[in-house]
Amino acid sequence: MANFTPVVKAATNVLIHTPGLTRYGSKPDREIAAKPARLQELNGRLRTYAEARDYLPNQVFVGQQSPEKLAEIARPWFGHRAALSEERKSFGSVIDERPFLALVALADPFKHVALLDRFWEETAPMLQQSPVCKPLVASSPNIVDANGLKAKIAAGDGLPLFTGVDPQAVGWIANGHKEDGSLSAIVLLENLCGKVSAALALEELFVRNDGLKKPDVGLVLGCSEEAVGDRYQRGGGNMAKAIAEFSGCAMASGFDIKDFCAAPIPALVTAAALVHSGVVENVIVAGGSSLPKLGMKFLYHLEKNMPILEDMQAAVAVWIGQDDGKSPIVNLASVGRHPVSAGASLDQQLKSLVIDPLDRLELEVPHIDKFVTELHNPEITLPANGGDVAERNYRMLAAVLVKAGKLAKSEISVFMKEKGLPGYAPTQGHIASALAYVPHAYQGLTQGRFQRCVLFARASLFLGQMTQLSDGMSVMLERHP
Amino acid sequence: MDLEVQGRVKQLAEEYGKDELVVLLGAPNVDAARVQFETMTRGDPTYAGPLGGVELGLAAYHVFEPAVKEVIDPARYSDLIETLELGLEADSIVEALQQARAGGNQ
Amino acid sequence: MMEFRGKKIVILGERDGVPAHTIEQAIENLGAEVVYATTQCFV
Repeated sequence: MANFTPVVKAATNVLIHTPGLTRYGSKPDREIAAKPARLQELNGRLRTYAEARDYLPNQVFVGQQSPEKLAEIARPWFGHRAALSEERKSFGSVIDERPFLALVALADPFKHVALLDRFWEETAPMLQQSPVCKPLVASSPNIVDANGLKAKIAAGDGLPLFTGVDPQAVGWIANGHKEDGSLSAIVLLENLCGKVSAALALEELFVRNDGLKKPDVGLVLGCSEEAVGDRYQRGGGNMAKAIAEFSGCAMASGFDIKDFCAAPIPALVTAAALVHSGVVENVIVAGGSSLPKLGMKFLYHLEKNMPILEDMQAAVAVWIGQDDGKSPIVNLASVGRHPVSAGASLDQQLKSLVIDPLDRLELEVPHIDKFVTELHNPEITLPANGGDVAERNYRMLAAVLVKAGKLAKSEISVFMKEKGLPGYAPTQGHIASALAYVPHAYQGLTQGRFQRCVLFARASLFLGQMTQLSDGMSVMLERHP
Repeated sequence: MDLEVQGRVKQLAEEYGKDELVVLLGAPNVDAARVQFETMTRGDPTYAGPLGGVELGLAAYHVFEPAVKEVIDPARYSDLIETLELGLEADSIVEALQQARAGGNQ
Repeated sequence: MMEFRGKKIVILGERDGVPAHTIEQAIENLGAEVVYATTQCFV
């Protein structure tokens, strides 16, 4: 049997600023239905593209700024543009919602999405000017004129599409099936957003890596949160293959890994195992965006006179391939699993995911440069009484390490600062779960000074009400010797 | 507190009565613990849900509180909850709920 | 001393605090009946 050391050959991401779609996030959608005045309140606090692009946590997300910058600049980060202190090459783009909506129409093979003719005329050139959007334009969208769009809105069998705070709709997405909730307009919209955002993250890989050509990709592994299916199989899945097709990866097949927010880690591990065993030579792990998570905390932000910070969709793509003598290694001996017997609580999770693998590999805390947890932006979660999620994880990790005799109580502060990371990712679930940091980890493990990064992610399985348990997984990335 | 959860607890309080029910809380910080305690006793302080203005008067305790701790088997408590206490602001939570139970509210 | 025996327990757990599953395990042998157990997750 073949035996290739699997490596991370590249990692990229994208942010897409979609203020006009924020109303279709799960919380805004339900709140606006209950109280229509909420829509105006929401729209009153949406950011412009420039504000979203220049927002420090977003700059950190796409690699324009380093995570260290977040400790240097006091909150509030919104309303400020942080000056660049160092020359950095980003590993992703911040995309405007107009070309994104156009791509949503282009990515829709069943033509439920229709774009206003005027909108398509204005937006088509924007697609051509974008190096990551242009390759995805292989067809033309379903077009509707102003009267046609008016008629659709009046008939109401779907959802109008908006950009920013403009009250004029620029498009429409129809319900896909009269009797099938799995093909309702909101579900199709969610799935198309995930498909397009992931494809954009893939394009970043191709644009930034001459060594990766589309025919080289043997497999796309989806790790996002949507459910693709119909009434007979709500979670049929394989969004990955739809992404592969839309991206033009003609030689790739695909499948999805489902594990709530933790999915990216099992996906990275699975990709590495497939490469290691020679089943596939090049795998792309694709984490697409989550439309339902837009505006999740918007009521708290409104209450606290903040802008709507959850206006960003995010996607990440990671290329796993065979050892090339230089890329960071995915250490398959380091994988931490979370068995049923470990229960649900965070301390037990961290013991299974962090302590046990360290012991197995005979490594200690000083050997690890960064422990990477879920990196939700605290500026989003703190006003919503959600705390600083990253910090809470590191505090518990410190407690667990102290209990295991691997850290002194007096070292906790330094540990959290040096081995931990500040949160900066949009609250896009699986994206924030360590996956967001992979492009930074790649840089640290190649051009930077990192030797080892431990990535760990957690899954709230109890939300699906099939178990009271949680889940998680961890894996270590190592500098190539 | 989640509206669905509020509704469910209201239902259970009607079914079993406040003398038979005990609510155990696992909130990670003072604010969350306080809001949950208020909601289970004097009513949802945010008035967002079914328990807004509804005084259930239930017996509600955080698992970190001595009243609960002393009843739980020490070996179990040590295995399951002790490390969580270390990683969270356990003392502040206990203090806040003791104050809230005494009728105080900061 | 609090008495759990014969009581109906409602568990409001939290992912980053003490989850319902953990609380349930802790009180397993105390003669109470858990009538509702849920764990909240804020992100």
